[in-house]
Amino acid sequence: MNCKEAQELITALVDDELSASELASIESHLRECVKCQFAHRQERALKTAVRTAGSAVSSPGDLREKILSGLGRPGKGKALNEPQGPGWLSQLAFRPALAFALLLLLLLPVVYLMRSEPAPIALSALKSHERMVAGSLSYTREENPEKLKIQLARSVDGRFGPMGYDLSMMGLRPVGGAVQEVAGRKIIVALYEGTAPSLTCYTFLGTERDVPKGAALFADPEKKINFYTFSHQGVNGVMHREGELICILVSEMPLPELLAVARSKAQPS
Amino acid sequence: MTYLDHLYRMAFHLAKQQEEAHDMVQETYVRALGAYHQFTPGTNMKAWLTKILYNFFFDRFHEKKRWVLVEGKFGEDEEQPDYWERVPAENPGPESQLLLKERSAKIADALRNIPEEFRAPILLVDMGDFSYAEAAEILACPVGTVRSRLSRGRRLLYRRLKGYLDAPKKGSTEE
Ligand SMILES: [Zn+2]
Repeated sequence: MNCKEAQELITALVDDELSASELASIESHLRECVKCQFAHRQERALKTAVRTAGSAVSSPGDLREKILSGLGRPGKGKALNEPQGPGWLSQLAFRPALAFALLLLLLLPVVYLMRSEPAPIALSALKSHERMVAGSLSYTREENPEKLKIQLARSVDGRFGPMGYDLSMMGLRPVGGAVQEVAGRKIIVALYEGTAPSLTCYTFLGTERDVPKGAALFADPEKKINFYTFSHQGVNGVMHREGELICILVSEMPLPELLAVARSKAQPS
Repeated sequence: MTYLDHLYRMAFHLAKQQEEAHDMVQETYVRALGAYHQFTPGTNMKAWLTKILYNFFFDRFHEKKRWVLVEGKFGEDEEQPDYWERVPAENPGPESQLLLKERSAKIADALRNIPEEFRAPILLVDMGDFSYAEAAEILACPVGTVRSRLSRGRRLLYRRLKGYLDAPKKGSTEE
C-alpha cells in the first residue's frame, strides 16, 4: 500500500469504520510510515475540532416556538384554499394526542440508553400484554375502576396500588386486572379496552434501573419526568417513575400516542 | 441534545444564511409530521429527520445535480502532501470560551466554503455522529462514496484552516 492509498483508510480508521482486513492493512502501513502516522493524528484532531465547532451551535430559543406555532396553522406558506395534500392536518385535528405526541417526539431531548443488565420486568410486560389482550392469560374481570383498584391493591397486601389512570378520553376503560410475579417482584397489571388499541398498565415497586436496554429516554422538562420508550415486535412500552412506583404502559398503539397518554397521566413525584 | 438542536446544527452548516437554516428546520418538522406514518417506530428517528432536512435542502437550495462528479476538480492531489502537518495535537487543553467561539466560527466558515458534496458527509459524520451507513442512507449514495468524500472533504477543510488551527493557543496546557 502506498501513502495515497492509505488516505481513505486513515479516514475510515479515524471514524472507526474499517473492516477487519482493512484495519490490518492500514495498521501495518502505519507501523512503517511516519508520515501517515502523523496524518492519522492530524485527521483525528481535525475531526475533534469539527465536532467541537458543531456543539457550539444550538437552536435559537425562538425557533422552537416558531415551529410549534407554524405546525398549528394549517398549510403554512400555502394558499388557504389549497387542498391539503395527504390530509394529515385534518387527521391530526381529530387526534390531538397524536399531534401532541409528535411534537414531544420531535422536540424533547432524547438519549438512547445502553444498559448491560437485563430488565426482566419491562420485557415480560411486553410479552404478557399480548397474552392478556388475547385472553390467554387469566385475569380478574372487574369493570368498576374503584373496585378493581381495591382488589388489586389487596392482592399485593396493600403495599402499593395500581396507577388507576382514567383513559376514558382515549375511549379506553379498565376491564380487569391481575398480579404477576417476575424475578420475585409483584406487578399489578390493569387491562384497558375500548375503541383504541388495548392497553395494559403495569405498576410495581422499582427504580429507573428497571428501564430495559436500548430504551429511548425522553426527558420532559415541563413535567420533570423521564419517560423511557421501548418496543418489541409491534408492541410498545412507555415507562416512568412516580415516587417509588414504576409504571409501564404497554400497547400496540403508535409509540408517540402511547407516550402522549403516559405524559398526560403521569404525576411528578 | 434535542433533535431540534441537531437539525438546526445541520441546517446551519448546510445553509448559506441563518434565515435559511430556520426555514429548513421548520419545514423539516412540517414534513416529518406529514410523513409520520412512514416512520417505523424503533428505527432511527434522528436519521429519518435528518434525511427529510437534507432532501429539503437539496430540493430547495441546491442548484446542481446531486453527487456531481467533481473528483479531480478539487483534487490538486499531492502525493500525501503536507496538508495535515502542523495541525495541533488532540486535546489542545482548556481554551477560553472566546477562543473556542472564534475557532468554531472559523471552522464553520471554512466548512461553508467547501463544496456541498464534501461538506455534507463531514457534517453528518463529525457533527451528527452518524455512521457511514446512516450518512449514505441520508445522502442517498453508496457507503463508499461517503468514505471517499469524507476523506477528500477533510483535506479540503484542512487546507482552508491551515495556519489557523495551528496558531499557538494562549494558556493551553498539556494534559
Ligand atoms: Zn504512508
